[in-house]
Amino acid sequence: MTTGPGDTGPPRRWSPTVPGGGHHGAAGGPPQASGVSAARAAVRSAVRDDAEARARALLVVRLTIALYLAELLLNLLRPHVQPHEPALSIFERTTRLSGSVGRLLATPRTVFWLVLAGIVAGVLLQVLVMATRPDERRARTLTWLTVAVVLGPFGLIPLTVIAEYPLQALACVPGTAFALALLHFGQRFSRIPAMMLLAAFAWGALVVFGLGRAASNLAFGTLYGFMGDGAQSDLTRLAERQYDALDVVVVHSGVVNALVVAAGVALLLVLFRHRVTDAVTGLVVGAAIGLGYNLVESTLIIRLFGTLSAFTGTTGGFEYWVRQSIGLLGGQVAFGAVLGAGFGLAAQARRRGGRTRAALAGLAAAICGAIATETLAAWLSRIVHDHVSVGGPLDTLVVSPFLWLLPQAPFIVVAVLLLAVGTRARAAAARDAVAAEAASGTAITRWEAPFLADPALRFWSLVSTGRLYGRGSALALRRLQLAQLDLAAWRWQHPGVLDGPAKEEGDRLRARVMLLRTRPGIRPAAAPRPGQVTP
Amino acid sequence: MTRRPARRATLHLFGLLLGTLFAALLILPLTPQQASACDVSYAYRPSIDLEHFGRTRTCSTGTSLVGVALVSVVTVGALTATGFLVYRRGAATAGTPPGRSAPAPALAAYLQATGLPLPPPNRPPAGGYPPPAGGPPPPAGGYPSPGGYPPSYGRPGGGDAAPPG
Repeated sequence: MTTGPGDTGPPRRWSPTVPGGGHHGAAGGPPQASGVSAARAAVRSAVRDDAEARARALLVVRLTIALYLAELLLNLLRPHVQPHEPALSIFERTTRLSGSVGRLLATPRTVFWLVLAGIVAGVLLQVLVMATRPDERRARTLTWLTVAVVLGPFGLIPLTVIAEYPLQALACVPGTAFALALLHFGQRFSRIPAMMLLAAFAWGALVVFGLGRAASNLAFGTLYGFMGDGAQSDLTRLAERQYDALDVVVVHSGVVNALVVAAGVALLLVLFRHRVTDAVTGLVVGAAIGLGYNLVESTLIIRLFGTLSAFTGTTGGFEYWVRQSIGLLGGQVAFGAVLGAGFGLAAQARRRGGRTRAALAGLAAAICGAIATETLAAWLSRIVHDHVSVGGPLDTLVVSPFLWLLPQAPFIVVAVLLLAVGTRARAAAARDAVAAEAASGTAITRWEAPFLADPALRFWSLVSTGRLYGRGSALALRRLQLAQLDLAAWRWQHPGVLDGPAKEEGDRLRARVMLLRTRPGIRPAAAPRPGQVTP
Repeated sequence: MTRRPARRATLHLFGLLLGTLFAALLILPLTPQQASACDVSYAYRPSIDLEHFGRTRTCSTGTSLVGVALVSVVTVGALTATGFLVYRRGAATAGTPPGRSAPAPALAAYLQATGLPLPPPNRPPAGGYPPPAGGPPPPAGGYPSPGGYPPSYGRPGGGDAAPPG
């Protein structure tokens, strides 16, 4: 490759030598941290813990608890249908059930007491912070402890589901892991940290499912109190009233789940350091939350509907097929993706009106999608009743999954469109950012720029390098490319930075790239995250 | 399509879909629906037929697992095909004919530009190893550029150096 006038040419380090011998470049990088301290350092580098982030986290937690307390209040105010009803419907003693069902039915009561204890503990911790005004480190610890004790009890319900039905949960793991990998590796430029993706998954599995179930339990009792008319001797009317209440609970669940997903997306976007906040960022976070929720719900439904197959015609295997195979990326994953993308677009909007519209559109879409899926699918299923042989291969493989996915289809299409538009925007930004960095520095050269900006070319270079020079060389090249793309993402966010912490961050990213060129086997201790203060 | 009109179009599509679904919800009576095709979720209502209780046909686990296997095979196949197509597109952009067994000049130049210390390739590059100093010599006739490799990435405000050859 010839060089033009003024070009410095590629670095002249080409030599078929063993790695580590005869190279120019920076001195060795920081020593490798080990074990727990490395994990702590990784968490500290990924998560913001400044006062503003903590204040926003506490706000989200307070709003989430306020939702649960509102459900409790409505339940307390419900009309009592039967004599000697307890103040809260979750304390009503029905026929004592043993085994896993009995334990599951008991969890809302346990959650209630734990949430109350958590609220008291949280208030005491916050009073302690305000009264003693501890140093920064202690204030950080107390704040995260508050978040844990207040939200942690809701995790009891999904953990009970998984502990009671471990085989069903294990069966759902491969599909879920595949979808998570797709979300992680499918982001071409400026990926969110893996820790953020896992935190989103955990939020969906523990908080969205747990709080959603706790709230729905209370809502069912509340609605039955308002709708029931005391006709306990008429079993038909009793069943009808319960089904009516369940229909409204379906609507209620759609609203509550979407609100808690929204809280998770907002919290994660605020707490985790990441380079870019756009539609793709929000979409990935929202989809990961939906995946977590889907894992726990699938476990429960596979077991529940499998037990009731004499009544429903459904087996556990069928539910697995619909929810963890053909419908894996639908349902709450698609609705969470659309909601998250709306929040990501809101974060990019300059004006307050645009931000509100984008966030509300995402939220409304998620709510309508969840409600429409439950009600429309059942209604369509009823319509085809006389035309389809129930339980045959056609019904199992085509008709029933089709009717379930049909109401979700528009939302899946919108999520895909948002992903395509967002990815295209990122690709254009990547090209510009890479070119700008190549023009101004040595961390990215003109010869490397085309490979960084074109995902197909980058993929080809990695595969070809692996085939010709071995897996280690391909991994070294990949680490270098990721570091360079991280630098380009920083350039995208800071196009004209000349001084200050942002410039220091850019210098550290460049130093990391240069270190990886010369010592490709070294893993620098932690890449600087946006706004991170390096100790 | 620039970013802002694309975003506006997407938001309008949002609104249209939301409106349609909301209208559908309002039309639907919220009454329990009898079971028909196999139940999937909470809003489906089972119909209890005591005469045929226990002998109802089910959407069996065996048939469902056949569906799972089919979807898995299709997914793996689609991912493999996509990877292959992306690889070929990258090779075409780099001006490398498919099925080439030696390191392409574009790859060799790129790897030299990275400065990574790499072991000898499994297969020597066409034309032998480039000299350790002075950069790799361009191949005779210059680099093929059906895709215009390397794309011009000029300095801001400046002209681009012409591609070699």
